[in-house]
Amino acid sequence: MNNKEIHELVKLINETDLAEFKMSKGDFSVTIRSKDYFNGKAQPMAPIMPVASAPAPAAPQANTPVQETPAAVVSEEVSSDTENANHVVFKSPMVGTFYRKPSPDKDVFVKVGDTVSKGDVLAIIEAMKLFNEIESEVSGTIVKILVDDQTPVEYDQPLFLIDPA
Amino acid sequence: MSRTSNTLIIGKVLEHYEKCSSTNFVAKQILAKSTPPDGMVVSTDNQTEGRGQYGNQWQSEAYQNLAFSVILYPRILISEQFYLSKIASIACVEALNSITNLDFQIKWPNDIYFKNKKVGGLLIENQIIGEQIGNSVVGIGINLNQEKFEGLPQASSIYLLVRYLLNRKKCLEIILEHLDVWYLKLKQGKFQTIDQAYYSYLMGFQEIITYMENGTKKTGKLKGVNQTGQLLVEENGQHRQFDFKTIEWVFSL
Repeated sequence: MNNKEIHELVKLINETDLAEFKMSKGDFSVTIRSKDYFNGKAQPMAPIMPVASAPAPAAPQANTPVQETPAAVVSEEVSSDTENANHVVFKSPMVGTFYRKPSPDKDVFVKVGDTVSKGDVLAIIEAMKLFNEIESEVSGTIVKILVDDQTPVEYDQPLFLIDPA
Repeated sequence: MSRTSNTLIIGKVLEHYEKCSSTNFVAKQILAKSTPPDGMVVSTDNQTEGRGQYGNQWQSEAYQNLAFSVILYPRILISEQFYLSKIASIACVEALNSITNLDFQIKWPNDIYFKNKKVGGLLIENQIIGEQIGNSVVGIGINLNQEKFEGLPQASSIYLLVRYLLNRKKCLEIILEHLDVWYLKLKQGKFQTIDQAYYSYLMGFQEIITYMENGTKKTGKLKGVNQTGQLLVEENGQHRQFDFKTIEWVFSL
């Protein structure tokens, strides 16, 4: 997908009420969030299209062509989020501030759809100016990131949803 | 590569770089590729991308100061991690005190001060494995011989305080020797001994301090630091604990 196509996609999504749109194809994935997502105005979306036993959401599906219609992708994610009990919830081992990037000018450690191996750094949690790299305890795919960058987290607070490989 | 002779653990292996981005970064790269020995030191003459906390720049002129990182495997619980900050700051203060005969202090949470002048700071980066600190990279920056600090009225150097130039290699050795002593105490679980030393060097301990909270100037008695590193203050008879983000120290000096 090139820049022009992404631009088109953003425009298209802006014309809808979608708060969040995620799509992955092979090793490419894109997440687009509207203002509503951050304002918390977004209504939970009912699946628009019936999805027959949805597979793991953002997991790379080399053989299955991913439908590019927003509605289909969104509905797929919603249904599997609530249904898939195999997902591993990665919880915060400590109280602190959650950082998704190694430093403000760098890329995020992981994003939704990324494949991670056991031992890969998922985030930094800082407490009293001690910076702690938090590593994944499983290999798999990041399904959901449950905390915003640079926000406070509590002990045991769920941070990531991982679909184990 | 060289080594420090008067220590048991710290600086037995020392890698020196004439120039590098930041010693913490290099140390973390070494950790990613290999299993360096406990206490290995990475130092540089010229740190081009030195950092304070999360993105803040640490200004340092080449060949004037100390910039080094120590790789540790402390095997302590996550909840005990502030002890890393404690032992590193105690080591810096004791070393500088012995070098200069001045009374340096620890300004909570991670700076080294003489009166109201900052001469150094720490940047500690840990790797969490399960419930423990797997490894820790303790980055230390001390301004030794630098004469000018543009636009940083609170920054200073040891030279500006004592008016003689310092031997950087010797100063590094002395700090490492002190760190060696305190790292061993941490490994032995002598938390009380560490706390006592920390409080003896903690700026404002058991004194009335002035601070800003949400834009309001307040005063309170500094009672200490709790296990997670939060500052304990008694404010109008009420015990409170502060994260460093919610409190801004105001110097009354």
